[in-house]
Amino acid sequence: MKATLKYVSMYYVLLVLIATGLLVSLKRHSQSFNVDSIQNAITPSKRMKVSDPCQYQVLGDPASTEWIKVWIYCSSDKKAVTTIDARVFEEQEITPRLVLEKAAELNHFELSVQDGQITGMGELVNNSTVRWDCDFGQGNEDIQSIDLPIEKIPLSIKCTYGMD
Amino acid sequence: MEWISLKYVKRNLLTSGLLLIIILIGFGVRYDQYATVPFPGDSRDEYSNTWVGMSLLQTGMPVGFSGIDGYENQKWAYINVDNVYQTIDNGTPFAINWPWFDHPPLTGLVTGGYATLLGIKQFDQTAIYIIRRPMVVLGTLSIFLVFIYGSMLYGKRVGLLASTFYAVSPLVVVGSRMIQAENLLIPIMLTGLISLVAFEKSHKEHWLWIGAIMIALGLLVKLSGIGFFLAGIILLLSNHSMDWRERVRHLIIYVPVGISGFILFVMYGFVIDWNQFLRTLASNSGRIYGIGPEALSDMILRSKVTNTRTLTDGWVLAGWLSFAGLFQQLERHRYILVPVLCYILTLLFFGSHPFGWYRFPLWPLFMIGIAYWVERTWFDWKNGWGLFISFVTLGLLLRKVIGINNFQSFVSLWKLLVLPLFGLFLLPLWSKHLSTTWMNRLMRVALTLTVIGCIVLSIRYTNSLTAETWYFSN
Repeated sequence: MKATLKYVSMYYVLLVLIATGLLVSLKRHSQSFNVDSIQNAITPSKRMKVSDPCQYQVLGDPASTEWIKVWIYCSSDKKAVTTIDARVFEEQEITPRLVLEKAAELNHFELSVQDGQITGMGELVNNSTVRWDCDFGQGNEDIQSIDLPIEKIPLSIKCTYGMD
Repeated sequence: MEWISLKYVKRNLLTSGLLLIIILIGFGVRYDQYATVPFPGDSRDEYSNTWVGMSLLQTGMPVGFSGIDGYENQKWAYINVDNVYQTIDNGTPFAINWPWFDHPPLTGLVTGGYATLLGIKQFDQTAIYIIRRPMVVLGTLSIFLVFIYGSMLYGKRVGLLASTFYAVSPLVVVGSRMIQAENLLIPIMLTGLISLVAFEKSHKEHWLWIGAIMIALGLLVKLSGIGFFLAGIILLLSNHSMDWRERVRHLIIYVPVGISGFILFVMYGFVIDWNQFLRTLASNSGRIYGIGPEALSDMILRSKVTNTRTLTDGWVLAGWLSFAGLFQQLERHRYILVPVLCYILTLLFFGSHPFGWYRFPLWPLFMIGIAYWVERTWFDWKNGWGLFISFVTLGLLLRKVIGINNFQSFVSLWKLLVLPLFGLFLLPLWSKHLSTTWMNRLMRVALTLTVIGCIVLSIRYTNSLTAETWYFSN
């Protein structure tokens, strides 16, 4: 019995020594950790962008009451719907630009903005005959500038590519 | 432990060759479609486990997705790995928590370590086709361990049969691809149990130490490994070949060494963030008892892969039937029954949701149980249980592979088969008047055809599970 206890004690001594070594190095390693490390890890990696902003959409609705639905009408018969959970925005004020950038990031297309107006989504860019026009959905209230904060959530943003 | 020596391979070329073929088949069916079935995103835990290991290795902080309350640090993020938001996800972002203490970190260190070795740094690069690879290897390793455990308990015929069943069972194959802690717990648990059997047979104490260390490792994979820790205690205490004094002495080794895995987990929590560790532990223990009082019947009746997706598999039902059969001789089959009972007890005690993967550690033990009954029937035609449970499996697999409409053309043949088969179950009532040799031959033919049919249909069924069939299957 004495020998057994001796071996078990030796096991624990060895375990404590190894564990202490591992955990001390883990502690030192974790001291370099900060929120930026997480941000780096969750930042989307570079991917091939698609030319068609209606190629993808985010299916279903998030399990949240705070969401913004983005409707993108690429033509009269082609649309994409993406619902963004507002909890992903850490900014004090959520703007349509943030929402549309998130939709573009999720659906892998390029979003171009100039002077608070959308100038292009994917290969669909503004020109002399067709342009992007965005409003707040239900009330058809036009978005004056996509950098102005959104006042009430949930809501919809509707962007249509068509004749001016 | 002659099973893993070169000498054994030389002396048992046929067994070794068959085992190699079984392992290759098992690997083949696991590898084929491993990145599409189950569908990426069917379980978000697969990604989270990997992220935990990656972040722990790369930044010293476990960061992962948690579904439980009590985390102080939380960040919502869309991580569109495998385009999950364009496929099956409902648009809910991941709740990223840190330090993540939902479970011990060993599983994450395996897949996250593999991803880190490949130079992956961002979470959305952890594509399923990369991170599931270690699980395919672990699943294949488990086939080998099932052979060893089955062989040690009931001989190499049972070992070979059990490893074959474990290699081809569709639910086992699909489940073993997933990055769930249970899939790492299985080989560790099997190694632990193998060591305990080796200890009982040889009385060499180093096996007890290996067994206890494996149990400790199991606790670093998932705390439900406590079921196997408990099983070890009961198995050592019920070892009647030793006197009580000896048994207590063995416990003095086994208990502190086995529990050291949990102590390490606590130390890990203490070093990283003690308050968060305690909060998570408290939150985990207060989780909804979602399995409900019907947990046991749900386990028996529904072959779940995740919480919502099921995959009807006759092998699992046959496993439960074999378990019921073994129950008649608790002491003789204690190396199967005790771990199964202790693990089910742990599941019933911990509660949570009825996720399919919680049941995975039962499958290897069940496959040994089925193999045991098949072998019993082979040598004793009067015991038709092995044929009966194989027949249950065959019927279910036929339904899955052929489909009910196509099966209509075979109904007459089926009825012709059923009649003599059930005759075989009933004929022992007149055994005195029948020739044992002939009846044994008859039984062996029926058994061989049924078991081969089950194996072939299992492989066909598993091969038919593609992304499309899986997507529309539930």
